[in-house]
Amino acid sequence: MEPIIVPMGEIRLLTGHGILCCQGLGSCIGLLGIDTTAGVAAMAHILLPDSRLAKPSEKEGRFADTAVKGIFTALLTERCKRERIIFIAVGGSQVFGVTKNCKAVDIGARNYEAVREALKKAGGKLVAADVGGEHGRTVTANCKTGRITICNTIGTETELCNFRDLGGQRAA
Amino acid sequence: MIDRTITIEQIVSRTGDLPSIPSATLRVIKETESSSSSAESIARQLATDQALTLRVLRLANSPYYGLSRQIKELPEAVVVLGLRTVKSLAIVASTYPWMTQPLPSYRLGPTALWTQSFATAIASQLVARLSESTSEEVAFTAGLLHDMGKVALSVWMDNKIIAILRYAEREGLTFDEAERKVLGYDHTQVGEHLAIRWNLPQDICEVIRYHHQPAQAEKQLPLLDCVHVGNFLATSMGFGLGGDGLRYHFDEKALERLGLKLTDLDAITDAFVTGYEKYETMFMDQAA
Repeated sequence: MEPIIVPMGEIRLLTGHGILCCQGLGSCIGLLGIDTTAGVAAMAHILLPDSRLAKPSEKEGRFADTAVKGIFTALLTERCKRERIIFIAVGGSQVFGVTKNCKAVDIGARNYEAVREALKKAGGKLVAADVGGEHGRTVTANCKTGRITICNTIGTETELCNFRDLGGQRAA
Repeated sequence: MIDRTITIEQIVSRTGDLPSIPSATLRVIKETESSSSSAESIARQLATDQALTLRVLRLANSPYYGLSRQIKELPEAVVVLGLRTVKSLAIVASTYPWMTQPLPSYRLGPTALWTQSFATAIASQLVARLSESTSEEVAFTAGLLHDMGKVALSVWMDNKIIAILRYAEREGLTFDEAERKVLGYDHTQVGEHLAIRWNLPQDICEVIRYHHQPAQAEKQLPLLDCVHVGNFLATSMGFGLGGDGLRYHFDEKALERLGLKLTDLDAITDAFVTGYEKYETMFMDQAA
């Protein structure tokens, strides 16, 4: 099955079976929202934390705050239930040796923090995450099997989780 | 496999399939940097390479420029496109064939080195424009060529990247620091030798050598700071990441030296990605 690649700054919606994929995540975040009961998923390829710090964009997936809203809107128009939607976040790497007093450079950590904040505001449940480090990642969500796999840039592939088992949990 | 008794000079001279830039392109690079260059003088250099001439004419007539009449002559094309675009297009067309080859030793798939290099070129050009510190087109060229040492070194690396990464993690080093410890030299040093062999301008050789450590360069060079910041933006956004990933140091002082603020980093990043999307379409159609 050919995966649906989510371009940078965009959101892709998938109803039924299929595969969603965010390729080459550095400090960007691949954010998956899914209602397993309705069998509908949406994935965003988020570049930056806050839409107020840059020019307005038509691409809702570009910023953490607009991406969370965009995923909710996309899923709710497909008859998903807000309380059933769960989220998984992958990416948010950083350049080597970023110090605490230079937070601006750590786009990856700020992206993840912004995703968590936006989800908290919107009542979204983050059930799994693989973030940080200095390596790139590609995340694939198989909406038929529920498997979330991560391939890092050195070539190793791991299974982060199966979202069908994670409905009630929250990420640490 | 790399034998630590092999010197950089030997790597460069013994690697049979080294990248090259057509002599016409090198002459265009030099001509555009000359204060006496004109549309006619650039066109004369371009005309010595038929493939390059065709690409330039194709670009001038592409829908991107939306011209109502057809451009048939090179000097006219240079006027329409501008010296900067012609130079960028010439270098893109010349590097595309070898930069799109996979480099398994660095875990770079097909086109990954190209994506990383082109993104760094676009980002470096943007940083040069915002900081008004150096020529935008030289920043583009230097950004595009910054990692060419990987092409030569990868032939000899075999599977050493695993050992380099393990060493880097164990000792808390960046990837280029670990390369120097494990191999005796890094891809920037090999790249510099290659650039000197090609007789590239000295500033571009400096950028290739010090793009991961701008503070180590003998003299302060705004062009180097532009490419350092541009490379950070491209890597951070995940363009063409290889096994070395983001394991490089970012020198915030490079931003300060360019008169840019850390607080503007998100807006710069946003502008970079927007610019990349625009230029990728424009150049890729003509380079392939």
